[in-house]
Amino acid sequence: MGLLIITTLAYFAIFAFLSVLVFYTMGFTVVSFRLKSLSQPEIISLSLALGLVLFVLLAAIFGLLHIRIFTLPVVLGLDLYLIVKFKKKLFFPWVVFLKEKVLLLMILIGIFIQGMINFPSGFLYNGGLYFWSSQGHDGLWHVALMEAIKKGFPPQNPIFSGEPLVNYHYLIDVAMGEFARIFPFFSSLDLYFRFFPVMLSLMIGLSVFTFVNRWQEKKGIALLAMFFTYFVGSFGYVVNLIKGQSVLGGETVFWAAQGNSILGNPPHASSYVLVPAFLLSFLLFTKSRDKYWFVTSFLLAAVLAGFKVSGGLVVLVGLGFAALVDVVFNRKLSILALTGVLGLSNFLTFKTMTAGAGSFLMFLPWWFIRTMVVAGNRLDWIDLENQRQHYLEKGTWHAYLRVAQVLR
Amino acid sequence: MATVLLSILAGSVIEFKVYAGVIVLLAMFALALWEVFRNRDFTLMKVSLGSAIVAAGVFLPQNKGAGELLVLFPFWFVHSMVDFPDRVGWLRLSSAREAYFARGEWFKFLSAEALALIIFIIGNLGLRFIGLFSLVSYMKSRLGKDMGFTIVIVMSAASLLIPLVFIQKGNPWNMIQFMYYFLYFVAIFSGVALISVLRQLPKILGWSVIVAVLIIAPINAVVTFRSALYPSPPSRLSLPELEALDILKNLPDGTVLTLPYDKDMRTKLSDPFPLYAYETTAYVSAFSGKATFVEDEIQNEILQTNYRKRLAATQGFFKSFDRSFFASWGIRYVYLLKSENIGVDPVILNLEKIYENSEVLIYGVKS
Repeated sequence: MGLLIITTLAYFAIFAFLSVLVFYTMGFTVVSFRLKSLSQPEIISLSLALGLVLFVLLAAIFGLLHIRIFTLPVVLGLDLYLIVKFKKKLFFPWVVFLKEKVLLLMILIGIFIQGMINFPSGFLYNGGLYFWSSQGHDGLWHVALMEAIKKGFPPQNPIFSGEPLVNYHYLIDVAMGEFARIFPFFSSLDLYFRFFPVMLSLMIGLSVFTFVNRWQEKKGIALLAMFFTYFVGSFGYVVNLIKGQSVLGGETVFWAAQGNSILGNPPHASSYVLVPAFLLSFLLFTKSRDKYWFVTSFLLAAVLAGFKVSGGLVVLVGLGFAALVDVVFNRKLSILALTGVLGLSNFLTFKTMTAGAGSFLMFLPWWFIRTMVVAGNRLDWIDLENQRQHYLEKGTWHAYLRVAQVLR
Repeated sequence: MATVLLSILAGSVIEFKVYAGVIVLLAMFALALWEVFRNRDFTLMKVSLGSAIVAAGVFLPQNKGAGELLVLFPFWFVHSMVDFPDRVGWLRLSSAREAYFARGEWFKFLSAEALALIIFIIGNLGLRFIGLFSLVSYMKSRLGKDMGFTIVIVMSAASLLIPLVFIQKGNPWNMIQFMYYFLYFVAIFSGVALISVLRQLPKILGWSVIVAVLIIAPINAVVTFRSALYPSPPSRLSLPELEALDILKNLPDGTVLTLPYDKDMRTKLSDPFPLYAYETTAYVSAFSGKATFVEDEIQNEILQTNYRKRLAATQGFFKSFDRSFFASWGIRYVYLLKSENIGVDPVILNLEKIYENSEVLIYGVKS
């Protein structure tokens, strides 16, 4: 057991390093344009949130184009470029955790408390694998999804064979599944139950801290907001007390699950990262009405409905109302424009991920060229199509280049 | 006038041809954005947004498949919270509500509903309810002026109202997830409220309140934390099953047939329950990395698949042992648990045994 814990911690150290390279640096490419106007926690928080969205978009686009083989080279190439360009500046914001001791302490306790709903599950104990809380059901559904995403994108339904996965907001599973695919030495159980929860919990804490700190301009309020987000639950214990039961219980007697158990629901956890990150960016946009913050706000919430449908809907309703107020009282249309583009992008995301999307749009790149080559009443060049299928079947990077060559 | 006409024309394109409509809307947005940022000219933006509204108006009513997931059922959460014994379970309030309604005593009925609603909101918020005070005081001064606050307040309201009015078809409780954003935003305002308490009260009293809140507030978090330390978790996967699933994982890709979940198995065992008995789950798919024919009925219900048809077909197969079932549904592997005592005859069914251990049998379907 001791050896297993040490091995897991060693893998976690590798995960921490790689997740900074994958998510943080990818988001940093966007944030780097405004380094001077942002605090160090804001740089980290926005970079991680943007990195999450950009990595998912990259995985989805490369998956649809059948060029997933290029995901890792693109990520590593980007890392190399940024390291050469920014050198120490790239990782310098992380020094903030050495200075802001209270922030660091609260995040560490937050990760520990929130993570406990996940950490012990899926570990190899003497009698096999054990699952606490509802992880035997909920957790394994997400692990099955990660496995499906490792095999292909768009994913097939892992529990209803032969059908594409629809009617589910699986973009956070794309992030975890794609990460597992490009770094196959990680176990999906470690990634789901131990490593990604740490990253998500860190992002939840940092995003609420940075948003409230910028909005209220008072660190004390931001720290308390983080405390209430991480730790505070319902009055369920009062009901238990009245019923003569243990005071330690009753989290969901009023139905809603609480923030401390949010990591058991990764789509929800991801929306607790993206919504405040969007609000921070939106706040900076309303202050400056700057194109940059318009684009950043759009990026952060562009596919929010794919991470969590309820998050996407709630943001759009709020934004729509804010837009209306802005038009009526301030005679400005830029928030309305943001609502429009976000409404459209989230609508398309939602339609693509729900049943009936097939009748709406099908992603088949090169369909016209290919059918032109094959069809008897067009070019009727079967040999060329045979070559294309042969190279596609091989699936290596130089085979894909040959595909491009024969179709040029 | 020209703006209205153009909006109707551009917005209605989607009704004739979806692709053309999307292209028109996107192109117009792009142009409108360019005009707004480059020339500060909002004319095209008005046309663009008007056409988007028209397009949504004509397109959405005919494409409401996802909307059918929502069922109008006001106060389902409030009523079930009061009625269900595993929730608040306040039977007197529950009967009072029914009685007042039946007798037409509307004032008393509305009072009972209001009380239940307050319990629902305050109960879920816990100590975060203090955030409501600062939220209300902010509304007076900042609504419509501070756009950051405006968006947060509307998001909070939408997040609270949606689950109060709608439930989700199949899984009504799933709709509660909308409410989490309300809890989240009030948590932020709780920070504001506590700081103002600190400012207004004498220093010692203010700090005492803060310390008390910091101690009492995380009771739920302590419970979650403690639950992970229970020596006997609810579910487990035995080593022989893990080994079998690992073998299955390394086989060529193909659909796996499993036995449908039988909840009676659970009554014969004690915790930690084996995953096959614990609940209908996705565990064979999760550990084998292969798609199963049908597994995890709860999730399939959420995904709105026609899983009942497959369940019936599977149950039929395990009674009739008609081997044409494999070809009809594209089954490549059969994953069986010895404890379930299914008498499969591999010769009749044209199956080959791939793996066997003390708990599991894996067959491959011969082509």
